[in-house]
Order: sequence, then structure tokens, then C-alpha cells
Amino acid sequence: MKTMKFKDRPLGKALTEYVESPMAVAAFCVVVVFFLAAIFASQIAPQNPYDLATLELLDGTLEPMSEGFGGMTYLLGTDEQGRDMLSAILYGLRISLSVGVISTLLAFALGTSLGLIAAYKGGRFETILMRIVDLQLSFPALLIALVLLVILGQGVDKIVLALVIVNWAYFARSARGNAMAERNKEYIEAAKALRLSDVRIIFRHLLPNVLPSIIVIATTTVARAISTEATLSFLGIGLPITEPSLGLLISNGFRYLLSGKYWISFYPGIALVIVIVSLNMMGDRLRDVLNPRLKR
Amino acid sequence: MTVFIIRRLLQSIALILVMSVLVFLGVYAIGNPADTLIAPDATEEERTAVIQHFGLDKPLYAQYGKFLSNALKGDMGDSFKFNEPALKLITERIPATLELAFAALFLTILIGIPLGLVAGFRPKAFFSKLIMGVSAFGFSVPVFWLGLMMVMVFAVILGWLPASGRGKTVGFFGIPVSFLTWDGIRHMILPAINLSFFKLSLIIRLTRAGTQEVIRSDYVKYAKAKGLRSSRIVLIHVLKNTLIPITTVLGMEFGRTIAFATVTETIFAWPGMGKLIIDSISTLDRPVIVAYLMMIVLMFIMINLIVDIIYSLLDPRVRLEERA
Amino acid sequence: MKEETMEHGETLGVRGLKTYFFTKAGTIKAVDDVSFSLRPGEILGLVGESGSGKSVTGFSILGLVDEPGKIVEGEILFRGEDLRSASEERRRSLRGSSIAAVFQDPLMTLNPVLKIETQMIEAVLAHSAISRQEARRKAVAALTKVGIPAAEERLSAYPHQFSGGMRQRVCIAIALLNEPKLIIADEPTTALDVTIQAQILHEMRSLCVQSETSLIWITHDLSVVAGLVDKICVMYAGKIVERGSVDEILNSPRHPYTYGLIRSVPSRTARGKELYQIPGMMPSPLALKEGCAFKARCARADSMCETQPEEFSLGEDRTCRCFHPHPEERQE
Repeated sequence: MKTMKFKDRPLGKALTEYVESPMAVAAFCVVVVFFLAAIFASQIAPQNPYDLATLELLDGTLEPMSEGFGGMTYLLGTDEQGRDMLSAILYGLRISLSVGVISTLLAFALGTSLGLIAAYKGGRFETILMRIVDLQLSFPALLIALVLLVILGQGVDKIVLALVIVNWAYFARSARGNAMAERNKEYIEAAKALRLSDVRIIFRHLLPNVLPSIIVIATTTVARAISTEATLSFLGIGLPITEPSLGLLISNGFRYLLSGKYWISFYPGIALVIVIVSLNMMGDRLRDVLNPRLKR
Repeated sequence: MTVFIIRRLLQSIALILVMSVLVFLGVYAIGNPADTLIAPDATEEERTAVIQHFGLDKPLYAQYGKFLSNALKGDMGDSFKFNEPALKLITERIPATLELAFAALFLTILIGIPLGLVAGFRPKAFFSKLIMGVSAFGFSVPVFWLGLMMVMVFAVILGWLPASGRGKTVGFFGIPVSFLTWDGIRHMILPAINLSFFKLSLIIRLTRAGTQEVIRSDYVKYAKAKGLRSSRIVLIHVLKNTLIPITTVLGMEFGRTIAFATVTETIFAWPGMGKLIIDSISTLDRPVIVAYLMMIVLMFIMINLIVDIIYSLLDPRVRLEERA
Repeated sequence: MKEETMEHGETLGVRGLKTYFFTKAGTIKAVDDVSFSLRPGEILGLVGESGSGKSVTGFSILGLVDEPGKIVEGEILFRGEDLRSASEERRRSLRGSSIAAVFQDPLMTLNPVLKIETQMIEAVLAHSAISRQEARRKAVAALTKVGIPAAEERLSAYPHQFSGGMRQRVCIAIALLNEPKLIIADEPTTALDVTIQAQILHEMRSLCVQSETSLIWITHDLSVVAGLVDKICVMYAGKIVERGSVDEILNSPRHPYTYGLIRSVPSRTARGKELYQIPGMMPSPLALKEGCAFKARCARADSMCETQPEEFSLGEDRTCRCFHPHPEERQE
């Protein structure tokens, strides 16, 4: 049997359609660039902003494109401690992105599994799980995060945990919803008739059919996780000062805003917004591309 | 109709009780209630007094009982920082937050619905695409960044509006409100817009989608066949049907708005509940945190109840089914 | 095609109407050269299966064809006035007053969140500058006329509080409110059960005859039109394939499609015989080929049918768009 050409297989079709929108492609490129910048931050950054020895205190709050005492040109200015903003942003990006991605991966694993199991097993488990999901989703994410941080305390792991707890519900609801449509189909019946184990059925048969819409949710969840963490850090109850994410940088620079030294908040803010908006655009495009397929 | 209200009321009360148990467990069981309710610098006498007052030496269910009875009396401990009853601190600040939230709601309805209608009726027009683009942006961008940008542009660069604080207040049925003074309004403009931005984007999208759906419906076609003027078709037929789901969303979003007010209040130094809770979390002023949580839960559930009632008033199908 | 001269006093004259839908997948010729006319009090049955273009014809006359559809050619004369060149405001003022419409499913066409009262009064007030009380009185009168008991109280009800038959009567009442000269009814009884159907048909007929109102009854169900209409136009794939008086068509169908339709209706006289079915399905409007659209399903087709047949005249006001029509059947 001749194998299908890549562009005719579902994945190929989806990708081919995805790239039809120039905006979506641009968004994707931006996201890739930012992720690479974050990964290679220590190589790219002109300065290590957390090595106090490299900082020139006299270079504090310099405007962008100004030259410092040590002869270094600060492309995006410096903060009050003489830190190069560009470097700070690169390192901050690393933290913001990793917290966002890791928490989303965990939420994805947890939420999708629970959602699939609920749809497959049905019964009381499903009802109870969905009640919890509905209840949780009726409260704003920020509030839940606030509450969790109060109870759990501060720290990177606590933030990740809080984000996972906030976001798993979206995955669970979507996974269960889609699996519900699939669970009565014949291929599942066939798998059951073959006495395949439940785990195998759920993960080898149900999951791939549910994956497209989950991927859309994952993309927007990463954006939302990054946004939520930034908000929490900005408010001062997020990541501790030892792990300065973009949110913390922005918060730090807030007080200088009113006296006109905008760059300390502005540029980290721009970086944050670009990443979030690009991720959301990708998610939107993916949804358009993947959903009509589901409707079939 | 009354049966409907009573049933929903009972459901709400049940939910409040459930949430109170959750909050209680979170604070008393997971955390150390002694730490939660007794200031770190309290004397031995004060410690004993609090332990007795809250029954911390008794078994868990008795503690819950005490918790509940105290809460109903309005006693949720004293703030560590201010040495005043936590609940009082919160309730003092509720008017400020609610005022901001209502202002944001008002703006959302005033701007969002007309824009959504326009975008729905003429989706291909440039103006509509512009509206959708900006709203997509507003949807994704974090609220606090928008606030910062607004402060930067309008307060620092242009100097038109004040960057922080609440304006002059005036008594209104005994509650201090600031929208009745021009100074108050000036101070409210930026934070209200900031707070409304997210909801605005949502409402524009929803109104647009709803409008597009309703336009294609048979009853609009029939209204045209009856020879009705377009203005009437839009204002009466389209709007009423589109408004129903939008009202529900607005109601639910109102709760979210109150939660998000924490960010806006922090940026604009608006003296509401939100600012208080952030400060309290940073200083670990736990009685205030507990009081805040209970208040928020209460407000949420009440808002849901009111939204349900409004929805049944708007959609006659729901109302009459209940009676049958 | 015999040229139909416009008679003095003709209510509606449609000539060469072409309504096309320009979609991404291609151009759909929903109505492709349709002509007919109506005198005051005359009832026309426009018959065809779904996709034949009958509903679009009705919408075209009303001026309610939405994007991506467009009337590309043709004349629509209402009492001598050219509707196509009339302003949108003029058309709006005619709709609901002189030209009224009744659609298929009143649960969908009546706005579910507005009272019947509101929906009736607005129909009156859109066309006359009378007071609300006056309009209300008219509404009550119209409801009573269509046989709705306790009309005064029923006005304050919502659409879903009526039964199916009653709802449709409300729609008919709305159509009659402003004394129209022409009513276009698109499958109005399809959603109702048979006994109600019969009642409404009978009532519509007497109302139209009484007030000399012309009526176009659009349906896919031939048995429905038998007792109601004066003449029939049968549509297939956007064209009229046969026209004639109701007796002529029902007793002696000439076009193979009409023939198949009539023979496929169960009847007492043909008891025991096998029910005739037209093989195949109407071609997709995007896949129409050259020649007669029916030839793929027609037992009488041959190489002649590769060219598009015109409407050949078989008598006065009697045509058939076919090279090989069935012979005429004499009925006693």
C-alpha cells in the first residue's frame, strides 16, 4: 500500500493550512525567536545581570543607547543598580517562559488524563470531576492563584504548583468534552472487544483523536500562565526576588515610571506582551485550522 | 417565579456553607491557625485570649462551629497590622472597589455593545476589522501592563489625568462615593478604563458573534418581510435576543472584575479591597486574608444568584417553564 | 416561449427572472429564467423539490435575497411597478403591506422573546400612522378572522405558548393585517399535521377569493395544492418545466418529471399497484451540465436532450419544457 504524502496526512494538512496565514507564520517565528533567546540567554546577553561584580553602580538609570562608565553601550538602558536592561530581559524571559511552559505541561498531563479517564469511565467519577471543574472555572484564575499562594507560601515551585492547579481544569474540560464524542464510536468498541487494557485504550486510541483541540488549549494556556505569573510577580506575591521574571522587572521599574524613566518597566513589558500576543495568535490560528476537522 | 428565587437562594446558601468549610479547612487545617490568628509579636496573655476566643484548643469540628458563629457575628479576628477587626477593614473598602467595578461595567456596556453591533452588522468593513483587531489585542495583553501604559501615556507624557489615588468623596446614602465630584471622576477614568479593557474585548466579540448569528435567523428575515424599518429590527429584535447571553456573561465577568481590581487598584493606588489584600498577603496579615476570602466568596455567589434572576426575567421561555 | 403580454390589472408579472448565488465553490443558478403572472384573486402553486429554486423565487419577489445571492436579470412587475428598479425604501414599504409573506416554521419566524401583541402591532405601525390602540384593534380583528379564540387575551402571549397550527394562523393573520394584494406563502403547512393543513388550506383559499388577493403557494407537496390553487408551475433545477391549470397538470402531466411526481403520490385508484419512483436525485446546482437538467433521471431522454429545451407551448397558458413530453391523457 502506498503511503500518503505528508501533505495529505492530517498533520500535514493542518500545517499546510496553518502557514496560509502570514500573521500566523510571523507569530510562530516570533515565538521561536523568543524561546531561543531565552535558552541561549547566557550566551547572548551582553552582561550577566545577577553577577554583582559585573555591575557598575554609577551606571544606574541610564537611558537606552547611552554609554556607561565602563565603555558599555546599554541598548535598552539600565535599572537603578546599573543592570543592563537587555540582559535582564533575556534572563527574565528565561524564567517567565520556563515557568509558563513547565506549569502548562504538568497541567496538560494532569488535566488531560483526568478528563479522558472521566469520559471513558463515566459514572460518579465523571460527574464529580466535572462538578469540581465547573466550580473551579467559575472563579477567576487570579483569585484562585491568590488563595493558593496564601496557603502554600512563596517560591518557584509553589508558583508552578499554583499555575498547574489553576490551569488543569481547562484541559480536563476540553479532554472530557472531546472524548465524550469519541467514546461511543466503533473503534473504541473494537478496542474493547479485543480486551485491550483500559489504559491502552485511553492513551493509544482516545488521546490521539482528542489531541488537536488540546493542543490549541495548550498554546493559549502557556500564554495565560505566563501572563498570570507576570501579574502575580508584579503584585509582589509571585516569584521571589532571586528568580526575577519579567513581571518582577516590570514591578521594579514601576516606581520610576512616574519620573519619566520608563525603560525600566517598558521594555520588559514589551517583551512580555509580544510573547503572549504571539502565542495567542498561534493558538487562534491553530483553532481555525484544527476545528473544522473535528466537526467532521 | 418566587419558587425559582427561593430555590436558587437555598442553593446559594448551601454553596456558601460549603465554601466556608473549604476556607476554614484551608486556614485552620492546612495552615497553623495559631499563626493565622495570633500576631507574631503577641504576648502570652493575648495568645491565650485568642486561643480561647477561637477555640483553638478544641477539636476541629468545634473549631468550625466557633469559626462559623464568630463569622456570623462579623468577627474574623483582628488585623495584625492595623489592630482593628479584619472584617471592618474590608467592609470599609468595599465601596471604593465596587464603585470602580461598576464604572468599568458601565463603560463596557456603553462602548462594548454598540461596537460589537457595528462589527456584527458590517463584518467586512475596515472599521469592524479594526475593532476586532484591537479587541483581540486587549484580550491577550495582561491587565497590569495596560495599566502601566495608560499611566505612562496619559499621566506622565500627556499629563491629562492623575496617575493615582481616589478623588474627593461625597456621602451618598451614607456611603462615600467619588463619582459625584468632578475630581472624583477625573481620578476614576484611567483605572475604570483599565479595568474594563478585558471585559470590553470579550463583550465586543460576543456581541459581534451574537449579532451575526441573529441576523441570519429566520425571525429577522421575517421581520424584514413584514416591512419593518431596519432601526426597529436592530434595536428591538436583534438587540433583545443578543442581550440575553451577554447579560449572563457580564454578570459572571463582574465577579472576575472585582478580583482583577486587585491589579488595577495596585497600579493606580486606589484604596479598595484589592489593594488591601495584596498588602496583607505581603505582610502576612492573615485575619484580613481570611476575611477577604469569605467576602469574595459571598459576593460571587450573590452575583451568580442575581444574574440567574435577571436572566429569567429577560428570557420568557425560562420563566414560564419554571412555572409549568 | 409564448410571450405573455401584461394584461391590464395584473397583480404580479415575473419575466425572465435569474437569481444567482456567487459562492467560493462556484456560481449557483438558483433561479434560471423563470416567468409567470398572476391576476387578482388568482392562486398559483409553485411546486418543486428542495433545491429547485422555488423558495428563492419567492425571496426574489420580496427583495430579500441575501449575499452572496443577487438578482442578475429579469423583470418583477407588481401592479405595473418595476420592483427591481424601486428604491430599497419603496420595497420596504411594500413588504408587509401590499406584498405579505408567510414562511414555513412559525416557531423560527416569530421572535421567541417578544409577545405576539408586539409583533403584530409593529407590523401595522410600520406602514400606517395610526395609534397603538387602533393597531391593537386591527390585530384582534385579524386574529379572530383566522379563527383564534379569545383573541384579546391571546395577544399577550408568547409564541411558544401556542400550538403549531395556532402559530401559523397567527402568521397568516399578520400577513392579512394590512390588506395585501399579494401573499407569498413558502411551505406554510409543511410543519403541521394533515388535518390542520387541510383547514388552513381551505381558509386561505376562501380569504383570498373573498378579498381578491393573489397568492403564491410554494410547496414540494403536490397533494396539498390540489384543492387550493388555480394554476401550477413545476420547477426543477431553477427552471419552470411545466405550467398549466391545476386540472390540466394533475390529470394529464406531460413533462416526465411532473409525470413522475404525480404517479408517485399514493392514491386509492391505484391500490395494489407498485408506487412509481423517479430514479436518481436532483443534480447538485454546481454540477449542472449542458442540456436538460432532468435527462439523467429520465427514461425518455435521448441525444436531442443534450441541448436545453425551451418551454414549448401546448395550449393556452400551458407549456412543457421537454422534447419528449408524455402524450395527453383524456380524463372522463
